[in-house]
Amino acid sequence: MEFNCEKKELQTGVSMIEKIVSTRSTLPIIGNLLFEAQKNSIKISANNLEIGMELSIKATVSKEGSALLPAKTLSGIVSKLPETKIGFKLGENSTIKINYDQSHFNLHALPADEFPALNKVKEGKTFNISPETLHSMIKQTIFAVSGSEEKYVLTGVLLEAGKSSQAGDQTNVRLVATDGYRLAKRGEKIELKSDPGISVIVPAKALSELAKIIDGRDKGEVKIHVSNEQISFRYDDVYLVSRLIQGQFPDYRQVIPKKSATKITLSASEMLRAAERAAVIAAGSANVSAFEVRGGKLYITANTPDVGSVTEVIAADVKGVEKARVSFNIRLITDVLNVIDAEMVTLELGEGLSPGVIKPEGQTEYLYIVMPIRTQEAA
Amino acid sequence: MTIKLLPDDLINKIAAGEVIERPASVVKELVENSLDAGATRVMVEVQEAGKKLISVADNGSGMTEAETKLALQRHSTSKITSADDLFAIKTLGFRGEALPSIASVAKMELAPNPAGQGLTAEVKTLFYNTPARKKFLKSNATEMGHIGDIIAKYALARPAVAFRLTADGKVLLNSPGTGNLLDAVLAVYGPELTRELVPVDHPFRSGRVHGLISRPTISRLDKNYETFFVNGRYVKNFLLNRALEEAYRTLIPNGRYPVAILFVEIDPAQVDVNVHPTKREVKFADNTMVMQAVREAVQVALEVTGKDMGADAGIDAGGEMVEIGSNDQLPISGFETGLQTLITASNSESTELSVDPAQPLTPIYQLMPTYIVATDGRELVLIDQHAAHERTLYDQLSGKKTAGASQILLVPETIELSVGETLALMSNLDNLKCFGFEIAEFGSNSFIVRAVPAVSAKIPAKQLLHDIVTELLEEGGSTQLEVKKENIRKLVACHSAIKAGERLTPLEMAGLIRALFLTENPLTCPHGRPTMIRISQAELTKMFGR
Repeated sequence: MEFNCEKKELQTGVSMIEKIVSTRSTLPIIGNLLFEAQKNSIKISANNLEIGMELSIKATVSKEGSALLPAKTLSGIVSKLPETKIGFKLGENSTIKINYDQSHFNLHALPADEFPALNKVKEGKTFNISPETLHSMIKQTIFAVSGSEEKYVLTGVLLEAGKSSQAGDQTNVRLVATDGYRLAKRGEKIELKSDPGISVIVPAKALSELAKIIDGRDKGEVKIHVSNEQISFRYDDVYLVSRLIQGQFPDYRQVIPKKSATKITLSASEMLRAAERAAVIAAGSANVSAFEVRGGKLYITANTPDVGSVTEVIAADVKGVEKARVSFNIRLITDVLNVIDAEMVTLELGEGLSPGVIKPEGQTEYLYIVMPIRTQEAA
Repeated sequence: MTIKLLPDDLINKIAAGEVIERPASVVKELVENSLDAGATRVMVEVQEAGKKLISVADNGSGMTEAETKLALQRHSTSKITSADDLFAIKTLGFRGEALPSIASVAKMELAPNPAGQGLTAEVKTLFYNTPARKKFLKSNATEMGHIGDIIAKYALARPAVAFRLTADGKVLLNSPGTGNLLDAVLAVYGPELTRELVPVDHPFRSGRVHGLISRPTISRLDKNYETFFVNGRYVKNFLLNRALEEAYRTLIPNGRYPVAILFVEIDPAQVDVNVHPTKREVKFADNTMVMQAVREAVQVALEVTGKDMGADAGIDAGGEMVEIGSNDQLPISGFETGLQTLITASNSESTELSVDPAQPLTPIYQLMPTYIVATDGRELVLIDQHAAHERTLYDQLSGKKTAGASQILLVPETIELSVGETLALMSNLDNLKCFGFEIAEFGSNSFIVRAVPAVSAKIPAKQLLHDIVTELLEEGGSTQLEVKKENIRKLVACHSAIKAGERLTPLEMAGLIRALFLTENPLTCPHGRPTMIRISQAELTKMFGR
């Protein structure tokens, strides 16, 4: 194997792919990147046995071939190389010589055939979606997944593509995530040639890697393939494949409240700032913050003994019953306000201890449900 | 001094001291007799946790009137006849001590079934003549838990035998006796856990290891779910536990244990059961061979399930890709500790390490990742992240406002418990409610959880409750209300706190330190262990010999 390429190309590729390399595995071989030189490009692959990735960078190949290079060492070197042409040459004793300007590295490489091959999705259901839409959908749902491995299905995000079984839901692609205390659902109506009828649970880790790849990209489409065990995403020259989480995702349709007693509309940024300030005090008391609607305003209050208390007042357009009062974990509120793009949000509250619903004003695609906290004062 | 022979009655009482510790020991001896008599149906009924009545009815080979009289005499048995038999024991009992021992500390009746098949043994007013032992009995819930445990173990050991346990008229356990281990497990542990089990079957040089083990996706807080049977006999042998746990190492988190119901069938000559009067301990002639057999059996079974799942999920489970100090966090936020809000934004942007005078301690590094290395600019401080978080949660649970705050669940969850766990939960239900749990009974041995303490909202509800119940069961528990309540407070704090090994961002570490210093006693955790260790300049100077 022998080739040379621009440092910039190489760095972009390596930094994108090295994130899925696992260093804490019982299988040391997967701490490597597979380099394959063919025609006028280099294919770089990584595989942590859960998620695999493959991408191509432009290069001038003088001799085709392949080798395994230690990911962490290589990425450390590449990020510090000068902005110039970098040459790679696989020599005797499986040593890779990396040269630039008048200097060079000699790096110990491993034979490529020891690397576990990427298990690609060959057949199954498929659809395309724009990278911008998909990125926004991931951003607005992924934060709500469960962090606990004990509750395995909730560490993933439900992906549905096809007609919704929920009355009034016009979307045909949906992402849903929940940790058992709150739920984020983002839908979108996109152009689909046919109804793919997909309903699978994708590990959050795979979606977060995908989000990095398509962040800020607005051209072309992400091609999604789904089999029984795996899901793959292809965008440009990047291919990402992940195994799916098997199991039953909770029926989210059941938990969406049908009606609300109080509906208020207010500035998203004002509410976020108020909630973040209240969170400073609430952190000392299990993040419990009380929400109250009265006199055309939303009051957010929190207090921690020996620390102090806070009362935030925000002007709001109130519809329905006033004097609604309910407590929430303030972190669950700031979480969603951080990912909502709209200027105004609506907060819907039901009677007593029913869930709160937060939506961007005038948009039906996004929905966030948060369960209240029963405090002894309220009881 | 006059030396004389002890009367039989006293000998029996002394022997009973060793064999009959509590009502559960009586149940064990009687059930073993039923099984040794070839019963396929064993019905156990107790009143007041066995203190008032223990009745065991079976359909075994039974006894004649005359035999019932002989059976109550010391060292009378039908199970062995010569010393040679001791080395090839296939029955559960063999000493001939059980019945006379029981009869010496309780009112006992053996009633053969008139048809000649089956026997009913009734034991009333246990320890009526040994008040000292009676005094040491624990609460009904604890004693009942032990009985439930015994029956559960036998139901698992003998899937072909139908067991029924009734306590004060309520059926606690009912195994069908179909001969299928899965049916027995279903009766003991419920459908949810049963679904997560995979079969094991592995031959080795002197025998075979078979049974069921849990997938690595679930784990338990203690070893109580690791059950071993050697030649059909329930045993405790730490080498077997160790072999099992070794096979799971790297697959499940540290400090958690798998579920296993494993049978080791081994040449009787290779194992010595005559080690302990209650026969729970065994000795193997070749420990290494048995351990290796168990380890291999489990590894093979786990490999098969790994392939079932499409990829080897186990190898990289919990594989951490985010390194401390890296700015490249996953966009998953908020669920971790929720502590970052305590920090000012400016602090998060400074990449240079400097001691912030507004902070009691500035975190430098997360070690192992279990300890936070921090400093106030003068001393070096090591903080145990779990103990520190436990202390902050404990204080929050003591606060007026947050003590009983309940985070309601999106979808209520059902949890299935064993008999003992159910009783432990029932006797602590009010206290659990005090701290924010909302739990209701939902059929036999299952419960529905609607809300958890507000401080616990990062832990899945089911895991939290299960871990707490497991500990309640182990402790046995006090009968004093205040002690019980305090105990629950500690358990909720402990099981809701971040664990050793969980990675924290620099912001979370700083937030944790701030929260810790707001508590009443930042220096120790609720159990009295230190949350931090300080190394002064003087100590450093001394260590370096400067």
